[in-house]
Amino acid sequence: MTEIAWLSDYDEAMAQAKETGRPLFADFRVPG
Amino acid sequence: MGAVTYPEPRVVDFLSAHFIPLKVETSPPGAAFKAVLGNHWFNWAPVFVYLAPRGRELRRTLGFYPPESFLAELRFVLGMAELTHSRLPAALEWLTSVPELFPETPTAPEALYWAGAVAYKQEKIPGLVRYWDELRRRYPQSQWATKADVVPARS
Repeated sequence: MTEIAWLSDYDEAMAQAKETGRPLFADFRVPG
Repeated sequence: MGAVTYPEPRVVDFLSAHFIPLKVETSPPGAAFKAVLGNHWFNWAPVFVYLAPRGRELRRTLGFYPPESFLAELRFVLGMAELTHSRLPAALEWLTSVPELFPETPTAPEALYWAGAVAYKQEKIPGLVRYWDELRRRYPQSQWATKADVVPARS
């Protein structure tokens, strides 16, 4: 893998976290 | 982060292998903002929040991390995630890997502090003091060493 596969949908990210057992890492940023 | 830390291959590999990465725009605040940050006064960015798979918040930090410091943070969070499940050996392994692999990062003394907390759950005071003595010896100027001073060092 050459870059991070970011998700943008919170519900999808939480669903994947539950499914995989991995913690979620959320980067909150200002638009830019 | 986007220019330096996220493109770093070690970061890509580790974050991809152990976390679900979510990037959230904060203006306007959407579902993720309301669910995760709640009433947090968001006045500076970036803010990083780590959540356990069932939603429990594990850690919240602010501002840029260079690659080594970020990798240390990720290992620290994995240790805390294991701790929430009382998987103490796994928690200890992740936490002690921080000062072992990234001894110069700001997270290293904090990881030793928490390693002591985990060891306390396993062995009570002898376990705690083993890690907190190491913390005080290696990072005497750290705020975490000051916190450890609640328990006397072994002579």
